[in-house]
Amino acid sequence: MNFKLTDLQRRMLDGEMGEPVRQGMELTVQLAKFWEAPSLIPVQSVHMPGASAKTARRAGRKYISWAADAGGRFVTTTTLNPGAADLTGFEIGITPETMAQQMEITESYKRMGAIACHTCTPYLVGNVPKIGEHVCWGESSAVVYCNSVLGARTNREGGPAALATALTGFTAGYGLHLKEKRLATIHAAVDYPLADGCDFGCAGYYLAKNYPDALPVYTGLPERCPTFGLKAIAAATATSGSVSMFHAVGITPEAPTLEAASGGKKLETIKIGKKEIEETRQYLNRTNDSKEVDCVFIGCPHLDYEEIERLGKLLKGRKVKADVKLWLFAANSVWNSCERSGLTQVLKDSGAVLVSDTCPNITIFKEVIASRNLRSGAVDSAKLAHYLPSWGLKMHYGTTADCIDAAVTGKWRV
Amino acid sequence: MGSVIEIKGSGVGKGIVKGEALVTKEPISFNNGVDPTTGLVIEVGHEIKGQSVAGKVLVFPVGKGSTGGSYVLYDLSDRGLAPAAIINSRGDTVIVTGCVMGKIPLVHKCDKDPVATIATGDTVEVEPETGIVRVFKKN
Repeated sequence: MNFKLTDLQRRMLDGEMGEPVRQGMELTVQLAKFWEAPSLIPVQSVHMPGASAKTARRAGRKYISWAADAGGRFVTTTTLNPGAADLTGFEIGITPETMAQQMEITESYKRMGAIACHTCTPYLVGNVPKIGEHVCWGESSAVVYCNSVLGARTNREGGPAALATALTGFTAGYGLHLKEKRLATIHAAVDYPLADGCDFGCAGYYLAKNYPDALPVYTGLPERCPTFGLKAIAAATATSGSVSMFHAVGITPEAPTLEAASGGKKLETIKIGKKEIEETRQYLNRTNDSKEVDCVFIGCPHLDYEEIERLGKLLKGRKVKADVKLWLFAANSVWNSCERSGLTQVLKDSGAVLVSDTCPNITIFKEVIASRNLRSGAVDSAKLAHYLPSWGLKMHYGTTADCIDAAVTGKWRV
Repeated sequence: MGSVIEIKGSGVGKGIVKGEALVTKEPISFNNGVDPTTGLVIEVGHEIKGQSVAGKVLVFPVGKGSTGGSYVLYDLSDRGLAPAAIINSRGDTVIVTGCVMGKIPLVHKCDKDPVATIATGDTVEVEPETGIVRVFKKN
């Protein structure tokens, strides 16, 4: 190891602060050794993946419950990623057994001090680190957003590492915590007017499918780039690859110019134009040969206010077809603010269901498909279009307007 | 009898494990890409879809996708369905954390590209403490 533990870290490792803290520090030190981290660093916040019965699985659930039972308490602000269920009452279609497992996980994290917001967009609900701050976040889409848009620093952390840091307050200071590891390695020149979230998703998915662990710098994103576009590109790059950060010139705090993003180094340039966007859209549609659609999911990553307002306009005066499900996903506190502001009635009037705390990707989707008898879906998220076919649902991928049209007609007419 | 090739990388884990290689040139996301209750690769269109990772020396370039992958590796290990070892061309945080937690030997940062050097069906011996991988070529 290249560094000495501080007195506090040593006492944690010696077990003076209880067994969960000891195990957390042990894992953090193992990771620090493996990654040759120059130090352990204190963090401002944790965003906890593995907050679902689906992602924690049986072994993770037992470990999380044990940590809470053994007196583990979080020493840093810790927000929870989505779980397997809507905790406000909507029954998504999981078994009672899965529901009980989810409650066990949520309650265990709460006992340790977590904020049970159960969202993949902690940056929309109050976990908003600032430029240069060190955090320990999981949820691949949030990791990319955190590094690339907020300019805070995190590696793409798995559940056990995030739990360890929540218990100790320290993370291994390697990778994207280090300024020199945050320089771009490839220039992605976008030559296409990215407008809908689906366009942004195609751009990110294409990049990471071809360069899975690159650190790209994008040029050619729209001026006044919308938050939903940045969420979409972040989620897509973290799906087809392990990209944990991008620079977007003029958006990323560390990238006022292309030269600043690369540290002055000349980079290889790849073009993302009409051909690449359209090929990616076709690729993400490849699993679905049916023109019928029986379910439409919008809100991956969870919706922001601007998206909810746009959905209101798209759905005004329209009705979701009787046998089609239109499920909209956002953080519970975002829905509450929209409810108070009168933005939700138009959605409910259309027949859309407003879902909190979960998403198709992070619930046990096999159970949802079986209990709801789903066969053919439509989404505007590259992440959902990529993952949901794994569990047996055919997917269409298009713009938000295409998806709303499918919800209203029951047909994919693109 | 085929040849033996030695690869040197950097590893985590203890002991020496030996197993049959399962190699893919495509990145893997364990969450949503591998079913933890069966050990089968389920990502639609993936090069090794339908194959089991259980007990194999699993060789792939780098992890990708969901941060839920660490707990899936831990759960596979708990169910006895984990790979015997993992060899990556490049390190990925989610894979490393899952391997440490699930006590699955892992080697990465190799001096020869493991995806090009190892073929499915080769017998592979992995010594994570030294980072040495011995490949007994089938052909």
